[in-house]
Amino acid sequence: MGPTDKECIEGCLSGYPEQYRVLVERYEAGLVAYVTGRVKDRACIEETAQETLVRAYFALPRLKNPDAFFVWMLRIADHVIQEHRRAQGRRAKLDQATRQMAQQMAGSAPRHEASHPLREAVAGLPEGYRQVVLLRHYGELSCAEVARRLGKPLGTVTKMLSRAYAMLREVLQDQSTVRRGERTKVQ
Amino acid sequence: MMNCIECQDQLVAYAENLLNEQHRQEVDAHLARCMACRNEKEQMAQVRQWLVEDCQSIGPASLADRVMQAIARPQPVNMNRVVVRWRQIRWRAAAAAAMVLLACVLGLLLVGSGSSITLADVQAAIADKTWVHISYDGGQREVWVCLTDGRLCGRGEGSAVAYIDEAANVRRWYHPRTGVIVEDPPTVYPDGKVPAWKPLTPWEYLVQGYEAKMQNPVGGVTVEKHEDKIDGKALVRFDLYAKDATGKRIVYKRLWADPATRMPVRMTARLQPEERKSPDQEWTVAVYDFPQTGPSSIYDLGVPRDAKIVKSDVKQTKPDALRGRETTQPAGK
Repeated sequence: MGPTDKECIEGCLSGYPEQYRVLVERYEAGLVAYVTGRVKDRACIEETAQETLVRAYFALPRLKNPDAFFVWMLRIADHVIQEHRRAQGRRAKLDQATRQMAQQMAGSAPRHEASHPLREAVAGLPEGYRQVVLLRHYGELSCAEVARRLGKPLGTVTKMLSRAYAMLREVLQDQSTVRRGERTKVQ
Repeated sequence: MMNCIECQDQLVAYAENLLNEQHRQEVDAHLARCMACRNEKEQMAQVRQWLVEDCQSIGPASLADRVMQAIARPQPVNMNRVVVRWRQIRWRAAAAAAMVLLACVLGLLLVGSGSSITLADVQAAIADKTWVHISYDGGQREVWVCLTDGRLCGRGEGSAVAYIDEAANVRRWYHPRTGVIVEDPPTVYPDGKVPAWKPLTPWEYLVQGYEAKMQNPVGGVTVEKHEDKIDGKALVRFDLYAKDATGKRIVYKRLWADPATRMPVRMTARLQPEERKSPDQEWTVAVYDFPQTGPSSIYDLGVPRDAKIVKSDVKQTKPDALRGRETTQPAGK
């Protein structure tokens, strides 16, 4: 096991930014999974995750509880996603023809919208459950380590995970039912 | 006996071998007789499997290099924000410096206990002071004001540094994150000429506004005098009262003066809600001293001498200081 989050953050704040790499590698999968669940535009997922990690680095002096780094970083991700949505809203107001022309001139391909039902379902979980799932699976932490990071008893974490799986299953089943229904209608 | 909800809440702990022997047997017993919970257990394992596979599909360390490159580059700092913050500090410094002399005036008038000290005596007492140094909140921010030529400089939050020399029409800002000194373009005056700089006298700088306020109280501001002690030293405390938005009379500034030296030593001011860093931070504290010399350039404030100087695009049409002078000049002068 490598250095703790707290040790890495203290290292960054003492002038050793290389320590931040450990945190990035530790949490990027969880962050990417979360962002994928909330941002549909595939081209923007990595950009949003990167922006979140960079902002989190420069905001480290304001982080009060180093053990809560991941939870805190997800809040920063929420802000970045909101800003991204506002920017998208502004773009959407542009005239369709102007946009197509701009894309042709810039030689860029039209953006693809990605659908990722599992990550969308994870992002849609209530906050506490979402954190537990992201840390356990995408952060690849044991239940005991998740409990320590979140300051919760182990029994609470396992119970929350059990309920989170049940919620995910329900959401995913509903979605597949809807899709089946749509297909039947078309036929 | 365990019911279905209790059993389903334990399924993760059961699957990951985190239950003690007794609980494990209870779950086993429940699963053996309840088909719904057995189904739940299988479906839960399926969700878990999807999550494990999805995590593997994200792949390792794809962002780390880019993030590390991004944080190694100097980040753009919104210099306009730094400038605005410094303008606020500068205003406060002027107000705090004015408080210094208000304290002298009040101290001498109220504490003088019969001695016939006049405002002119106070003027004489501070006439040889060339610098005021004001340290806020235990040194988190510091400001120096040169009373003879109007230079103002200081160090703010995040080690941002400002150096403003109105006489030379130079304003420089530095932030350690950018590592560069940003210099505002010289102020452009309406007629295209830079007027000769006339520094305010200490008297004008510190006393005039408050002298006027003492004679003509504005907005129901009143002053109360109290005996006080700080670190065993007998001081006089002046409380300035005003009315808040609900009409309640509250202290909004306190100033301590040393009756022996007739100089102010400390000031506290009530912070506006948006200025507070935490809900319980109600006051900002300033401590005064009067050093013989102050910083002579931006480099004396810890800015590296090899820092590059870049020109900013902040446009000023008229210096704030001049604007301030015009409004504080008494009519007919």
